[in-house]
Amino acid sequence: MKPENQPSDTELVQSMLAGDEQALAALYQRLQQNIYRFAFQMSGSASVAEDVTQDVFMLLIREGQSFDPERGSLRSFLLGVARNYVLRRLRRERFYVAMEEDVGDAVTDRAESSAAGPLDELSRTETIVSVRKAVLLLPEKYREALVLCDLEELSYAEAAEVLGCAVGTVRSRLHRGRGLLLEKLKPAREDETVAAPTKSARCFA
Amino acid sequence: MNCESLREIVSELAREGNRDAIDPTLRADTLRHLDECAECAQRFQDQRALTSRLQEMSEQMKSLTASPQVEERLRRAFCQTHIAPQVATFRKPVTGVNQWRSLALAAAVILIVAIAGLRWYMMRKAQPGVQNSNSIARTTAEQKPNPEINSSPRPARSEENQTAIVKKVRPRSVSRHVRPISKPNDIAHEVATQFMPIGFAGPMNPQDGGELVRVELTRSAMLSLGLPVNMDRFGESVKADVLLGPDGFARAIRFVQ
Repeated sequence: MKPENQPSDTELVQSMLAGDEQALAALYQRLQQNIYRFAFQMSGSASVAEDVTQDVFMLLIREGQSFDPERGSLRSFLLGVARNYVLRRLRRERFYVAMEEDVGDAVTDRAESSAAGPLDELSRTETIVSVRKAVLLLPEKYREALVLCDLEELSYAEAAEVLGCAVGTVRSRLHRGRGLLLEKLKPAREDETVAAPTKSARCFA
Repeated sequence: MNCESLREIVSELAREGNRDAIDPTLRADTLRHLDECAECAQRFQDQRALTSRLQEMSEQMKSLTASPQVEERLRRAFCQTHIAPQVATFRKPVTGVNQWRSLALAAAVILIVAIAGLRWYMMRKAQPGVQNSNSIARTTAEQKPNPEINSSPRPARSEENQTAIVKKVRPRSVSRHVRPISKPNDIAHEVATQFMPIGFAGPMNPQDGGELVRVELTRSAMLSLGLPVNMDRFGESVKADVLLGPDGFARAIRFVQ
């Protein structure tokens, strides 16, 4: 929640289009994390996320007048642009395999500096990494709904603005995406639960 | 509420902490069903676990930001976008119809300049003729009557005529109709004279009366009186004023140039 005395996103966009560099800086500080996180969670790559963030703000600099405040918030507008860039990039690079460390680096780096116990943190980090991998395996239309609603904590209406679809569509995609995610995470949990009786069986033998 | 209905809203119920709350009545019905159905309760628990993992993951990623280089590049691009176009507006590439228009305009300008240059050159070329005629006029004007020879009773008129000649000479007309003119030196040889006595008649008394007659003579007449003659125009006649006495005999003559 921004303080009352601070200019709105629309005012900052207008100032930026008039040539105010500080307005651009303010907008960047306000919105770049949303864009970067969304791109990172959709692509699983920090480099793609950086490129997309840069492209999104470049578009805002060059074609900021295309933003219409009556059609939605600036965040939704920029996330919509980011979504298009990410999907384009993913389709172009679908033949390439993401590097393993690129997927988990951002999370594991932060786990090491946590105040909790190292083992707890390690298992927690492993869980998060596994969830992240499972999210990246989701089909794009379910992944984007899940990232926007569950990770970026947008409302259905806001997510619908970003995705350019009806609220009901967002809801159903999210429901389906969560179901698929549970299915992808289930084998790992089942392996854990199945592995225990096998061990005990060996002990008895 | 049955198991099928619950499957449709279980994820929303598990996301209850999020911004999109479900209807309280529906929520109450669902919770009641969960108490009765173990399978649905398990499904709900799975969804709750997923929600907590996702929230945990979201919390971990809250601090993710793009590198400072991105902002730096954007600021640089911003400066180029908002400053460069003001200069670049004048460098728009000319294409299509505009290109042909520009070429036609350039050709027209070149043609006009070429014609103007040619006209200027022609006028410049004709200028020496004008200068010659001016110099002739000037020379003519400079040939003031010699007070010793030409004590004509109408010197003022002669000067007027000469002035008129000078005034009448206009560069364009002269340049277009250049006539062969004798060299100034030859003209200088022929002089207008004052009245010279002819024959051996006695001095004429002006009170007896007389008559002045304009005649045309051959240039040989000038020679007989010992005056210089332009030999190039020897065959041409020359005008002279002859003063006749009351008896009809010529008493004096003057050559009018």
